[in-house]
Amino acid sequence: MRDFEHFFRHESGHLTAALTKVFGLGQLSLVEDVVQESLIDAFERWKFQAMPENPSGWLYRVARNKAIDRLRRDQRFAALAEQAAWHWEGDMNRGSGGGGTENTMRRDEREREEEALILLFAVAHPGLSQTSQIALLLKTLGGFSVPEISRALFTPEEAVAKRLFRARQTLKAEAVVMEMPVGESRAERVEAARMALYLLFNEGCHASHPDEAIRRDLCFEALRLTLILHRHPVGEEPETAALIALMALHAARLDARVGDQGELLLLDAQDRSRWDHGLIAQGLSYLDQASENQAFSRYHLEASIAGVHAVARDVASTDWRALLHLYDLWRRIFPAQWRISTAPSLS
Amino acid sequence: MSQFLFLFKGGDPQSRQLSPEELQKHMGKWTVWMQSLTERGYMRGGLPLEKGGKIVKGPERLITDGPFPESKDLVGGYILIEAKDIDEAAKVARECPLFEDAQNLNATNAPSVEVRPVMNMGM
Repeated sequence: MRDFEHFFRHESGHLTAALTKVFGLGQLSLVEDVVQESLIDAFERWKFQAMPENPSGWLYRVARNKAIDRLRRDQRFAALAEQAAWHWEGDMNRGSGGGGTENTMRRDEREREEEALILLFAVAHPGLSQTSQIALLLKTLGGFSVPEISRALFTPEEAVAKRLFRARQTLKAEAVVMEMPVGESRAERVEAARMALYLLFNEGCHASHPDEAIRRDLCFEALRLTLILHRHPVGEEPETAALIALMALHAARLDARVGDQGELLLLDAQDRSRWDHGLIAQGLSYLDQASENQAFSRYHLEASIAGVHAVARDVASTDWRALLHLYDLWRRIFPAQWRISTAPSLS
Repeated sequence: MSQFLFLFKGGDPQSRQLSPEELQKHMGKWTVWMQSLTERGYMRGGLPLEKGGKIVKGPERLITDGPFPESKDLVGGYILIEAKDIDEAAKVARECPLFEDAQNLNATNAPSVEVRPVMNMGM
């Protein structure tokens, strides 16, 4: 079985993505409801007895049946429900692994990740503000509740709920289609997705946030989704690798940023033995991959800066000359982002 | 040793808007508790119950829908345990994570565990 930490949260994201792909973004709130109900069903069952061998398959079956039941009750969507039911019946007969019985039905991980990406592309829609994109990403793919998003974004719950409501309305009104970006718009939409993930990560890195645990979750959720983007051909680009490097190298320092009294420590006061050296190694390896084909982006720059800090034993032995060079590059190539983006690398 | 039936009532999380993460954490507590009941030799079996069902009632044996999920007395599941006496059984029931799940609920729909001794059929 997959890593059980955050299992419900991740399943929630995958279920939302899978069902939205079938029913469309117009049904997003219905989908979110049935996903939540399915998780509650699972909870009620699994607290009494061991989880089934394939809990993801179980959840998927329950959620899609609930969605079909709900839609069948509404005349306007009856056709959509029948179509989905028919489609899934076909799935079962093809017996995607394990003989195709309901409980053992296994879904291909690649397919699950592709669905997640399709939803990511839909949410990273230019018609949504950056804050709305972040909130909706957390709600749908992240499996965060409104109270959790409220804590994470330091925004009242009611405001979060309103924002989510309007964001769903926008996607519906714009008739955003659930599909992989192809052709001319691909590069632009992949960059939009990267930017949304970057902003999500930065939100988690905010220096003055009262809730350390949820902030951490935000950073690692952004990293998880960026890794999924990079695993798929659509997003397997040096820029995505650079973004992963940036996230891993900063995330490696998250724990060390907080002192004994919960106070925030700047770089020179951090105990570097508390840095996550596994993450640093991962970050450096992605930074290496990112330098293929002479690619260059702001993610490369920020990752490189984080990399210089990450490999230094202490402040004194930091390669300040390299840093100076990188900051200089940054100022010249991306003057617009220069001011807002310098903060993370200092903490 | 005697046997006791625990009926878990209320604490339906639907009304609680728990996040997936919170659900998983609570589920973890239940798993740990159930495990410990087995390890300490109390557990004799048990099952969760679906919400709702049918009620057959009266001399007419009238069949109606119910009980309804909204009911605070809805039995969500049961387990059978073996303990020294009713006091020990009640003490075990106090450990149930159902009460932790419901920390944010008000008293009127607070969950409960009904502890019922199984009648001794020995001669």
